[in-house]
Amino acid sequence: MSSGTDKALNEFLSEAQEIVETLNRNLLALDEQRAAGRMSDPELINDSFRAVHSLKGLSGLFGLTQTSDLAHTLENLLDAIRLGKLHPRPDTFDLLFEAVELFGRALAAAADGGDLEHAQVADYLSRLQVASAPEAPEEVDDDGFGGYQFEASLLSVLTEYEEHRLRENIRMGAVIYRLNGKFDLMAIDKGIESIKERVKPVGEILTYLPSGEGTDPSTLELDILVASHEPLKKLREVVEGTSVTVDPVPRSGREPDRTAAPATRTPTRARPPEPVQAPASARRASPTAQESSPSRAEPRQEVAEEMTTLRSVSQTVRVDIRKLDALMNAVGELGLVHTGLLSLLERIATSKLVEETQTLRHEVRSLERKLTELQNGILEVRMVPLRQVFDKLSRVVRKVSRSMNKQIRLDISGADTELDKLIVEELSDPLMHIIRNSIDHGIESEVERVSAGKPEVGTISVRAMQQGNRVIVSVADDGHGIDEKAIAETATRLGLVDEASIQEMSRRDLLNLLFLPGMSTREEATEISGRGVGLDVVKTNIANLSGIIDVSSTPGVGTQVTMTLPITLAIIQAIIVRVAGRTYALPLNGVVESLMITPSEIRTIEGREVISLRRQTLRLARVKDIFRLRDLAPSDGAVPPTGSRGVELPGGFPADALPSTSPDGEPYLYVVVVGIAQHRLGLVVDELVGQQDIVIKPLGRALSSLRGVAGATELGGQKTVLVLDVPGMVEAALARGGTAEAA
Amino acid sequence: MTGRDKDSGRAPPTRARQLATEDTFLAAYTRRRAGQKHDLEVLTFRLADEIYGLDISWMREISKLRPITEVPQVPPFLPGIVTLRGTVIPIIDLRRRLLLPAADASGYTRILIVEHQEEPFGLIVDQVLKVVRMVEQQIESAPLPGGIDSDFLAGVARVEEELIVLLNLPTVVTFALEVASR
Repeated sequence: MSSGTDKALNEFLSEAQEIVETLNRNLLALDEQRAAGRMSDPELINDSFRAVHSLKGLSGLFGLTQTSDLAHTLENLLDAIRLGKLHPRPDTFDLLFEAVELFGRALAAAADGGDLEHAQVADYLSRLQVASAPEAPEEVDDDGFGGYQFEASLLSVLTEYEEHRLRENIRMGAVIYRLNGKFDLMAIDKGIESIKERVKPVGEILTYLPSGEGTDPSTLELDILVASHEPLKKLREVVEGTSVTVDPVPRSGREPDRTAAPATRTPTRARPPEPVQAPASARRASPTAQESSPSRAEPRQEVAEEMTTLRSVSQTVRVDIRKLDALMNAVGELGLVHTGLLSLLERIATSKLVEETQTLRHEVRSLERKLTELQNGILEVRMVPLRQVFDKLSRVVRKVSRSMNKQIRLDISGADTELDKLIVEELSDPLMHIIRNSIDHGIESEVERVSAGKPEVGTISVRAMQQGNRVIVSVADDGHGIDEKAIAETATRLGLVDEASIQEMSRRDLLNLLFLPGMSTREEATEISGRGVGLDVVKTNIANLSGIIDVSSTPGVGTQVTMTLPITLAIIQAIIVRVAGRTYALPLNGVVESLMITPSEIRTIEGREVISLRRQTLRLARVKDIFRLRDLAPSDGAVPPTGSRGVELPGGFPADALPSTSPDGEPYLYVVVVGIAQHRLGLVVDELVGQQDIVIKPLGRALSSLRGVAGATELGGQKTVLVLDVPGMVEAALARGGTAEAA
Repeated sequence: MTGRDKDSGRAPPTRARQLATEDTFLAAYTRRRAGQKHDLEVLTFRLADEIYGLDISWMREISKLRPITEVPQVPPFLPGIVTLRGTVIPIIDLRRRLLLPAADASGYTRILIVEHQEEPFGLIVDQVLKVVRMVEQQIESAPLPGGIDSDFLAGVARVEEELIVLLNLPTVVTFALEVASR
């Protein structure tokens, strides 16, 4: 396959993905409006219609027949809704959301070069067709224009949709205004956009019609029909400062506004000058548009659409995340070049070339500054708001709660919090899982809730907020909480923990047993949360993101799951340590503190090494033992890595002045205290070298099952070191502890 | 190729002269791209005293030996990883992988960077020789050098009186790591 095709496919996928996301968002908003008994926002319906229309075109282009069929049928349904021929009910929304999921599957299939199976869509399509059958039209006596006098020439150019919106607005008692203005052709998109922004809060724009004589070829005069519930004065206010004038459309049986100039001009379809018409007619010559509204095409609306499209395209660029990875890699390598320059600088610092050395130093510094700038810039580009995932959650909550027959309110805050795109993507499944658990096991049935004196509608709150260079995402429900005794029983019954350790555990420890592999309590499994894949998977997912997950619960009040995540994985801070002659990097976000101890401080309890730290017992694990490292001959790899520039380590040691023996002549050992959730573990290393920003690189598929290693990074001078996987090491140490095996 | 070549067997001086450089490899690769048709093009290299070959469509590049970072708890034929232009590449010691006697690296030692299912691997070989073109008929599933797991072999080809053991890359780079017991 040529890379050109790949590229086109990738672009298709990302564009389609975006469209599906928009569709989902619109549908959710519409469903919310419906549930709240409010009028649906016609713009949302129209946007959804357009989204599906684009999907149809795109998937047709890529030969995805099933997907295209799906879009086509869905388009008919949405068309009926937007034209007011069909009033959506809750089950209509079920169908629509089902379509969003089908599209998701279609895109996944397309990524693998396939399409949906006919069987996957056939049943859905037939249900959709039934639902799309228009309702019997309401009987209308008059023309539906409520006495407004519209010129036949105007009515003849309105699309079916525009005409429907016009009637609908009049029916709702809105006043129709005619706005007129001249727009500079060169900047017509901006001009229209600005009017749109001003008018939108006070009314609905029904149509744009070219008018006037077209004497000046560099401007286009437009009549804009607006429906509004606001008085004329208000509309004039919003367009103040522009050349646009506002007049009400005359209406029979009512006193016309005295100040209004009679609208004598007949809007004409006549010759919009070239630059505007060209894109309009060149637009995807869509047989589809004709299918959906067979009576006429919609050239006028498309002009406006084309204009907005142009505008948005000029402001955002879609980028494949792999390209950003490549850029990040390049920055990482520039960093290595920078390190090289620094060491060169040190070497020539003593030479006679005083002036040259100074100049070089200056240049290296400005390189460093620009490098930091570049790095931050790329990191920023990778950031996306959590909204992307949260939107999906609303859909899940809606679906699951309906099928469980529970009423659930999803309360989301902090959706604008930004995280690295990759993290946001990886967060989707764990969040979904937690939410399903909450609905399935957390929130009680309506009857139970009422008898417990709680509101019948359960609440799940999803919150996100940034704290320093971490983001905290929490999911809380107001259900019945978790019974830690039941957990303890299950865990002992399954042989995951022994009775004795259960006795020592705090309530919080017990709750966190939920995350142990094999803790899935099968008999509770339901279709929804399918406990078969347990919370341990969620935990692994979060740990893979260098995140920490914790659960807390109050019986009768609710359960809260909290995830703490780094903002990015692209660049992280790490402590560089040495063990048995090897160098490793330890991600700083798992490090609690570091200590300097002498071997005599180590005690042994039940064959395990521990030290006392602030009256608590801290388990130790020697990295050398975990990895079963043999001592190297002193010549092997004894080059100290670069990067130790006297940085303060957590624990307060200046990194470049660490003694290796105590005053008593005992060799010092260094303990890096790492933690996940409430678990603490002291990793024993030989040396702390320093602290450094590193770019973690994956080890690749072949080595992905390696335990205790999160990836690798380059420290300069072709020196690759392994990055330790803190959660993995803690887990391994705890698992070993459970079987009381001596280290 | 001259008769003298054949006669001189595997004496190092002669071998050195016909040593394929990165350039010759590249040239051969380019020619292939240009559409000259051969059934098979094989990069040959030396391991212990045998000549081995890998289909060049698997080849990505040839790298000089560089410091290898040890990875814990892996089979002995995996000495570790290197980073090449930002990508981490697991290194396979081909001698150990094929259960041949171990040897120290020499000035001729190279890492063949190959690709299997879009994942790169590095294979340590004693010496890179040249690119040999052959047709399918030259490949036999004939006598195998003792001790080598036949799964690793794609066949044996006789080209200009020399026996080339063709390796089957997918099995060479597919292995299970012992997963540390809990």
